[in-house]
Amino acid sequence: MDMNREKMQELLESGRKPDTDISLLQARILKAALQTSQDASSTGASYTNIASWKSIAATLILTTGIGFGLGQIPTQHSDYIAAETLLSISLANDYDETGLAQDFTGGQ
Amino acid sequence: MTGTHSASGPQHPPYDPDADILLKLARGQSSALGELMDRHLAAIKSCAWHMVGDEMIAEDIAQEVFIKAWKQAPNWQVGKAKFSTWLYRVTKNLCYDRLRKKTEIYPEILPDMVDDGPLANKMIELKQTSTAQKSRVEQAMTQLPERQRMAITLCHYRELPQIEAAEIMEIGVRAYESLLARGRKNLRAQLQRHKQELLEG
Repeated sequence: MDMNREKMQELLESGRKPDTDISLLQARILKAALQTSQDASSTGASYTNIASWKSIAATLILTTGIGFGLGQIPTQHSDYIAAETLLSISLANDYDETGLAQDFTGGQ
Repeated sequence: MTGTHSASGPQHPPYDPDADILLKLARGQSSALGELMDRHLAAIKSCAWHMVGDEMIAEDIAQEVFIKAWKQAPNWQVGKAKFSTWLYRVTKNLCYDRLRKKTEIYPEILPDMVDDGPLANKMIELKQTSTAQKSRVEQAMTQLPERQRMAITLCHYRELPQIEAAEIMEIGVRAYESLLARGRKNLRAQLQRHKQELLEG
C-alpha cells in the first residue's frame, strides 16, 4: 500500500518547525552587526587601498628576490667554496674508481 | 554580491520588496537591519533548522546570514535579483558547510553524506541529545541527502515558487523538479518503514 500525497503532506506538516521567539536572536545579531564594519569595496577609496597594498607587496617580493639573487653571486666564486667543490669531486672520483675496480675483479 | 541570475532563471526579475530596506542598509542604518530581520529572520532560521536539525546551529547560521547581509549591503545591485533569494542561497551554502563539517568530525562512522540514508541517524545517535524527542518525520528528513532536504524544505516548509527555489538551489527549474521528486520518493520510503506507527499516531 502506497502512502498518498495528502497523507505525506500531513506528515510533513507535523515535522514543521514550531514558531519560537526570535527577539533574543534578533538582538544578538544587531549587536554583532554594530561591531562589524560594512564592506565598502564598491567605493573608489577601497580600490585605491587594495591597489596600494598590491604595489607594496609586489615591491617587497621583487626586492627580496633581487637581494637573494645578488647574495648568490659572490658565494659561487669564493675561494673557499671553489676549494670545497674541487675536493669533493676528487674524493668522489677516487671512491668511484675503487668501486669499479672491485666490480670488474668480482670483489677480489 | 551582484545578485545575478542563473541561466535558467527569469530574464526580468520581479520587483524586490526589500529594495527600500536595502538602500537604508547600504547607508549603514542598523534600524534597516532590524526591519530586514522582522521580514526574514524567522523564515531563514526555520529553513536552517529543517536542514541541520539543531536549534543552536540554526541560530548561528541565521546570524551569519544577516551579518553577511549587513556587511555586503553596500555592494548589492538593486534590481538584479530578489534579496530574499540571496539570503536563502547564503543559508543553503552555510547549511551545506555545517553538514559537511559534521561528516569530517566522524568520517569513519559517517562515510558519505551524499546518498546514504542512515548516516545522519548515526550522527544523532552519537550526539544522544533530544533523539528520543525527534519525530519520525524529522528523522526521515535528516536521512535525506542535503540537496533533496533543501528542495523539500523550500517547497513544503517555505512554500516558495519553483522558479525562486530553483534560483536558490542554483539549478534549473526542471532539475529542481527532479530533485524534489527524488526527495519525496526517498522521504516516502523512509516514512513507509514507520508507517504503522505514523498511521496509529
